Amino acid sequence: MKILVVDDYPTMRRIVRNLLDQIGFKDVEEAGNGAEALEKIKVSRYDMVISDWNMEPMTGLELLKHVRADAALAKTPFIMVTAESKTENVIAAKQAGASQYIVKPFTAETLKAKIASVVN
Amino acid sequence: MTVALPGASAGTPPGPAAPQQGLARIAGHVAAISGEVDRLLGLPFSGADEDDMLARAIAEMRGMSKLLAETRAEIVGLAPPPTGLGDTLDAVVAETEQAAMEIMRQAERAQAAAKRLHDGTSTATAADLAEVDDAATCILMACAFQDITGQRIRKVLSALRHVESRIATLVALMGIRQEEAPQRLDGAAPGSEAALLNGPSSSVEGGLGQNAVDDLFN
Repeated sequence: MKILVVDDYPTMRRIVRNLLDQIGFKDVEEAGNGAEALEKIKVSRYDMVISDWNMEPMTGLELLKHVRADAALAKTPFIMVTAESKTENVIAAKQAGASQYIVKPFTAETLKAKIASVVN
Repeated sequence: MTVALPGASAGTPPGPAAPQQGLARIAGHVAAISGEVDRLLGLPFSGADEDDMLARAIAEMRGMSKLLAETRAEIVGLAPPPTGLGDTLDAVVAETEQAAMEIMRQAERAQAAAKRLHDGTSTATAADLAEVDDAATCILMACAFQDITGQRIRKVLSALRHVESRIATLVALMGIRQEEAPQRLDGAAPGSEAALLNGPSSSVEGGLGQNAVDDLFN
């Protein structure tokens, strides 16, 4: 299973990569923002996207909308992992088609549980 | 009365990236208006037939002059200190990133040694146990960043509080109402996608915990 981790902070990408490694996902690639992620998605196929929201020049929400607008990617699990924790944010992400929503800071258990819920 | 305002250019408000130029420009305007008021106050009057209108105008100008002097004093209080606060925060960003990287490096070192011990692939059990112990010590030491960054952040906070109180006085002096002030510093239109970029929010600010998010989401 190939996973794309998108976050502008290398520390957060490394934390997520480490947790993914612990639960057996070794095939992980990284992108520093939505635009970079979109470029990667156009070239190769990913089975799951785990993305931050607040990034420049393209946000995670914009990336999610691009992903969902593509028929081939419409069903790809997309987990938003973000410090944006207001009701309006959660609703906007849900409406845009996010599969799960994790609020930062999160525990290893939360990430594992959300991944399990979208994989099954 | 027309007053020549130094550096004033029509239709180009100062950008957020140039607060110092903005302050200097305001101070320049205040000095120009203040000078003009002083000049008018110094004009000779024609004999004893000074009428009420002139007296009122003079009183008004005196009031304006006082207001301008107070405004100037507040602006002087806002002048940036010689050591930049931005540099202090940049140092905090760099130090926290460095500490986070070090902590993760050590944690991964401990994980690798623990995995070897757990899987039975360790060729030197005592050495691997010592590695886990040493990594834990390194993690503890790396957490010293909190002391240093805490001190730096407190310094910036104290400067911010000073500026905040000066600005509040300035706003009160100018009689600016709350509804005139911008609702968001980034200028994002209410309801727009950009307005969703709030950053971390505490529960007081309307931030939800994971359980509340799950309730909304599922």
